[in-house]
Amino acid sequence: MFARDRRYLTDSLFGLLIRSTSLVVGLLILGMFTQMLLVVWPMFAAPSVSEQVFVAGMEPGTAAVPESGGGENPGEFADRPVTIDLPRKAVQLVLVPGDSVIAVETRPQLPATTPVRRQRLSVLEGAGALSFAAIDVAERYLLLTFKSGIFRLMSIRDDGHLESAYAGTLPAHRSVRPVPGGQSWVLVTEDALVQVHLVFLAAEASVATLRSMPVSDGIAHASTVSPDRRVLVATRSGEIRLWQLDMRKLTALDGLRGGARSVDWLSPVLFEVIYSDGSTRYFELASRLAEMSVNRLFFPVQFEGYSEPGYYWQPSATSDGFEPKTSLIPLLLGTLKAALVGLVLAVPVALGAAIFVGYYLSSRRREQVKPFIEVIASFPTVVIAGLAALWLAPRLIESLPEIVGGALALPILGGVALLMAKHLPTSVTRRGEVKVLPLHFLPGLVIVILVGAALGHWVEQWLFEGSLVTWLPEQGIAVQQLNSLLVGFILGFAILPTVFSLAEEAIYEVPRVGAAGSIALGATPWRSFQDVVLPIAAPGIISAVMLGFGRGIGETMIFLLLSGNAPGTDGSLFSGIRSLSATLAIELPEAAVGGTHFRTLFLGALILFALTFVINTLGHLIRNRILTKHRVSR
Amino acid sequence: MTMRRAVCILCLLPLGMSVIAQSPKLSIVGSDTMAVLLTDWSREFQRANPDVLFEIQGTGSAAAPPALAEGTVNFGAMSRAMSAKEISDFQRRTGFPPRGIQVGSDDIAIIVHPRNPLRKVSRETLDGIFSASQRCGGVRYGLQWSGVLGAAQGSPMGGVESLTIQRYSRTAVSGSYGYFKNEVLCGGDFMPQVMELPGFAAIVDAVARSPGAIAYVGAGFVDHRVRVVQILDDGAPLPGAYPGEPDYPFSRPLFLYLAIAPEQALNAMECAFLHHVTGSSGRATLKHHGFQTVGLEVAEEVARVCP
Repeated sequence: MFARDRRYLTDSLFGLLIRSTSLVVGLLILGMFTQMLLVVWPMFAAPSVSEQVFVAGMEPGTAAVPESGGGENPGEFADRPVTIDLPRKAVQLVLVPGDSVIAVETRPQLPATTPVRRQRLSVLEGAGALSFAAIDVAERYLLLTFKSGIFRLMSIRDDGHLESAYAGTLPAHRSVRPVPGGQSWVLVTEDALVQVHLVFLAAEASVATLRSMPVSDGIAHASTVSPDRRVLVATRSGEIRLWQLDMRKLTALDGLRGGARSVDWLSPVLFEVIYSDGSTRYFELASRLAEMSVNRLFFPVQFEGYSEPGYYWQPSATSDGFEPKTSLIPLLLGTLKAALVGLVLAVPVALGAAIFVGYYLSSRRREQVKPFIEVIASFPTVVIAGLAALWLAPRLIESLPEIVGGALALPILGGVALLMAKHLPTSVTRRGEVKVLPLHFLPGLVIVILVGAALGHWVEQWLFEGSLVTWLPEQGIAVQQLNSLLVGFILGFAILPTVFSLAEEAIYEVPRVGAAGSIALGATPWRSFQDVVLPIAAPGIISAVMLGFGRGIGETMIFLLLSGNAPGTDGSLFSGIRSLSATLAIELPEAAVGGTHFRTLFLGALILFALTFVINTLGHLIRNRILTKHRVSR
Repeated sequence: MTMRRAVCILCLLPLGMSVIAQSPKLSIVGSDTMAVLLTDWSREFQRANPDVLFEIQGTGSAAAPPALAEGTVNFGAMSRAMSAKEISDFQRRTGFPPRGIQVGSDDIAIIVHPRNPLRKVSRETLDGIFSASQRCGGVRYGLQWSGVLGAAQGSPMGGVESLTIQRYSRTAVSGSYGYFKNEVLCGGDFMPQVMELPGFAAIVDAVARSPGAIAYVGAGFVDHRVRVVQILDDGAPLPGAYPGEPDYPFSRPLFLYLAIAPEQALNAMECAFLHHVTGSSGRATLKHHGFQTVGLEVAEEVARVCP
């Protein structure tokens, strides 16, 4: 009696333990998901400000030169000459508002400089007041803008001599704010902020409007552009708003009193507001984290120096003033493209093998054969990828026609044989019955494949002028050695055991009674498989394919070594790709923790997680639907 | 017993600390590119001078000038020359300009497959091949090599002209990526078609295997399977330069900066370290890390600060 009670007690305790472990697994998944969400979320939150109170006399800006040059605007004309350094050419240009330019040659080690040339610029006459002068990074052009909106681009010769290159009009403006990076400028007009940028097309420079942000109630004053590319605007109604240059909205900052007259940055986060009553107050943004938008992540965006909008992934750079480009589209596209190619290549082979092993082979033979296929799964993918990079990558595209020919030869021959079989007399077809494991077919098989490869080679000579590698670029298709087809091939190899194993299990598990019955009634084995086994095994097979796809999406090493990690967005199979997983592997260790780049990468990880989650769930849903349809309980 | 031993050790501690305090110390702050190199140099130097202590901080070249001006370090290591602003800031604080000794250079070689007829390439052509925004005056080329080769020279093409241009680069975390982006692309962006590989060895391997490839690599990684292309700088009528040559344009100078007034000389230990660095074993270490050595005139420069 006692012993029995104890047995029940231990039993229920074990039950509890097992249930709690599954609970732990569930909680872990949930916790991971929440953790990722928590990392990603602050990126989308609007910036918040808090007031900073300083002891009188200790206000920032009064003590030292502010970090971001608050108020200092080196290229702006204010009744004084503007000096522009050209370190690459060792020349200094002194622009005197009025009519002349003095080129001064400088030597880096010596502070003493000597003027070498005075040049009178005719373009400066009669165009109104100059507003700004700037040079491009390569020191090839000098940009002169006038308040009327007229601008001149002068090309700079090596000795500092200026020649007029390009002229045009921009919006009329009151002042100009340079954007870090030296490639673009924000024009402050009466009721809008307009970002203009230098664009180079076919070695010719031009200036064009990149983005503009209307300020509905008029601009009283605009700050400089902070290193995080943010401008503060005091509106005519006395409010303060924040424009992050790549966002399509102005953010109203809460917690600031109205009646502001001017506003300026003192550091990347600290700014001062001067009110119409003469008082000054200081505010600080909660973080330097740049705001992110769905538009920047998933839609085409035009960036500084680019002639058209597009999907670009170039999230970080060592230099200051770099505009981060964080479109996730190239990464998603690359991942899905390669995973789909892998699936298309792996599934026919895996399913063929699964049907053969799970249905045609006897149980004893199955036990012997199955581990051989599954051993593929035990190869570390880094080894497979490394071998492929060395051996397959240089050969794949060159021998693609032969590979395709060889791979298609067998199915085509089979199809022809099937067609012929219908028209052959019964006396011939009766002899044609094939054994289960036709080993003596092997030499024939090899010959068929070789003939197919030869045919492929012949087709290449005939259709593609001898070489696919040179024919495709003629048609406008780039052929990279590391491409999505190569990734697909190796990914297919990695997916194969997963799909095979699960599909074979699904087929083998179908009770043989039905198949045996149908064969007894005169059905052929294939007929019986098609009509009796397959409908029952189908849900299992579908979930096998889905899980194979999920496996392909999450793979990292194969992508890292074979995809070329080029974030292009074309649909071609012959160009390189960049996958989410490889991007995480490359960039996550180097991204500053808590920065926009870091959080964007985590968003990518979250999407990867969600993608596999959805695919697996979908697989299970399909499986359940088909199961109920056939009313089979397992 | 253990107690007594512990007390004994405690007694010895001040003695040991005084030894540490008295032993000569060399501190170097600056470039992270040079950090490993500096560590190796210091290790070799310590083998000959075991009592010298080293303090090396590889935070970045920008950290060197302020530390030198404050007089807290012996050497400032920089993988670029000081900018005009840094020099003037230094001079404002100390009253004399800093003195830099170039101890080596980090050359970036442009390599192609040996079958590629490209022998010389200009900065503009490189900008056109690699850049998405062409800030350096490049022109966008078509998919194939014919555009580049036609523009470069008319030697026999070897079948490369109809191949796709395959561009290889390091990943964005590499310092060379940043250098190439700033110097060759004028701060512009790499094209989305540029393939990124995690190491120079992998890139050299990839270029050796594909006739249509072009890449930039640290000059120390170049081997016989690829060909180095000469650089035509700014359209000058020069025949062009190879990595390691004095006028090679894609070269990051490796500097050791000193804070000494014009008539001043370095102390004996600093001189010994400089002699070691510019001597044969220091140069061998430089080569070993894939950097280029400088000409022997560096000895004269050292002699000027170490009479």
